[in-house]
Amino acid sequence: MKMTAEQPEQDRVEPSAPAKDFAATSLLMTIGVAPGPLALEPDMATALGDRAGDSGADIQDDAAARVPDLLNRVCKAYTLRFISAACGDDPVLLSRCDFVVPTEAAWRVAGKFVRGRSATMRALLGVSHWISLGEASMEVSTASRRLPAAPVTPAPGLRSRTFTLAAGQSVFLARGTRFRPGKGAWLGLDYVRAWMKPDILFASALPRSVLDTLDPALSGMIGTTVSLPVSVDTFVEAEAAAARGELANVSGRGV
Amino acid sequence: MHDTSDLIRSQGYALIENFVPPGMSDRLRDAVLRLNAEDNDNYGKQFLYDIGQEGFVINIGDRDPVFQELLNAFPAANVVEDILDGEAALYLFQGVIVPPGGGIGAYPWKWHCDLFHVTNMLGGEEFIPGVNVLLFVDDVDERNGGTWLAPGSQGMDETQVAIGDAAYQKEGEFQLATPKGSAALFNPLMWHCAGANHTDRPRCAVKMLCVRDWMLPQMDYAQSIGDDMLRGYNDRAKKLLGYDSTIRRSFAHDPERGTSGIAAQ
Repeated sequence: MKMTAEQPEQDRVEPSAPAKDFAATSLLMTIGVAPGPLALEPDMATALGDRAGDSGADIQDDAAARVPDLLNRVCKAYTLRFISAACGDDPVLLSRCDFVVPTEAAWRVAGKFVRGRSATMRALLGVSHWISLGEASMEVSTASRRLPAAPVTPAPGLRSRTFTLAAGQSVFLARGTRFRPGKGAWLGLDYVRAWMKPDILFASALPRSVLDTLDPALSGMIGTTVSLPVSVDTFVEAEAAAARGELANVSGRGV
Repeated sequence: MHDTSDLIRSQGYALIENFVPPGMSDRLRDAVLRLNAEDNDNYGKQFLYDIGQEGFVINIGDRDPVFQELLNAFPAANVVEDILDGEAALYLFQGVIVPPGGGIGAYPWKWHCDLFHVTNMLGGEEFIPGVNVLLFVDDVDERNGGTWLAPGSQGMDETQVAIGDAAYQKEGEFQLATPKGSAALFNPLMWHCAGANHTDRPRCAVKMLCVRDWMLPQMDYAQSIGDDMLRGYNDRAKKLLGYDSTIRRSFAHDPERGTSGIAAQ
């Protein structure tokens, strides 16, 4: 991975090294960005980039719906461990997994639901993992994650850092961080703490054929132990399962 | 409104009398008891006890129009939205019955704060993740299980609050006594517990625990209200039910139910 701007040579991270160390976690907590691992083999990344499309439109859609084995390829155990560690050792849920093909370098906010005072919390609520599907650059406004929700454009005076990524290389972004992905195809994954709403509940959305092939270590990450009852019957079933220790969440009690 | 918000931020709770008119309290109470009897018939009282759900009446917003009327009126709306920065959505909407002999000292009632996971995560943060609106539809006092509160204990764990200690109890804890139709609004991270019901009559309340709308609720209320009932909810109530912050369950978008997109990605 090459870094430009103020990034000194010695801070470079070997592409295949998992970002798991204390320094990387601290970078996420403080400046809101940390170099990620080589998340995909370059050939695979390029192939996915071709699949993401090059229609000239600003594309963002559900990548996991289009590539059945995608989660096994990109949601590595060490990635989840790192993100969980950054989130105070809370379990995490995959919230989104999108192909993103920006047509202009507009500022974005990593993750969602960053509004009001929620946006200014010290604790990290979630982490985004952006994987380049080709040669691309990304500008990150450092230490921007605790800005108020609006405007999206980072405040003047914040330093920024530009990452140049080869196919398959990745960057971790703290939820709320302002960033500007350059033209090219990207795979953007958002993770949230397991007690937060994911954008999509993958355990429900993925077809059985895909769920059956998913690495067992990833089952918690897609929400298989999250119950979201929609009726009295399903609530009672979930509470009974929780009482047997089979589900992660139980209701509040004792008022 | 600001006084009430300041009380919740400072001591952890505020008590509002005449939250709803007496006639409405009675109708709410009747509905809670009727639905609880239905649940006992359907699932078995012993089974519900075994899973810790005896006396907790679930998904009431879909089961009787009086709860719809309550949520449409929702007299706490301004305070809740003020404290939660406009992010409020229901985590819980349920009837709560403390039966004769129930309450503190009996299973499953004990001193607790709600949202334990958030408490642990937010240590040291001056951040309020929710507002618990507990509407009493019975007169409550020390005889029938008025709620015990530990003011100022919000956000502290058991190593910091001497719950149960006699000396602390004398000065640091107190039991609510208030007429029916009153509501206690409190930070769910404040320690609290239902008092013991020494009477022969169930003590009823309606619990509306509002949290930030990005937090996972106990039930997916946006998906649990039938179409007929849904038509009777106003827009503010629908937002509380989570219609602005739903969780997609399939890759197909459902414009009728909305999406969870808040900040454009």
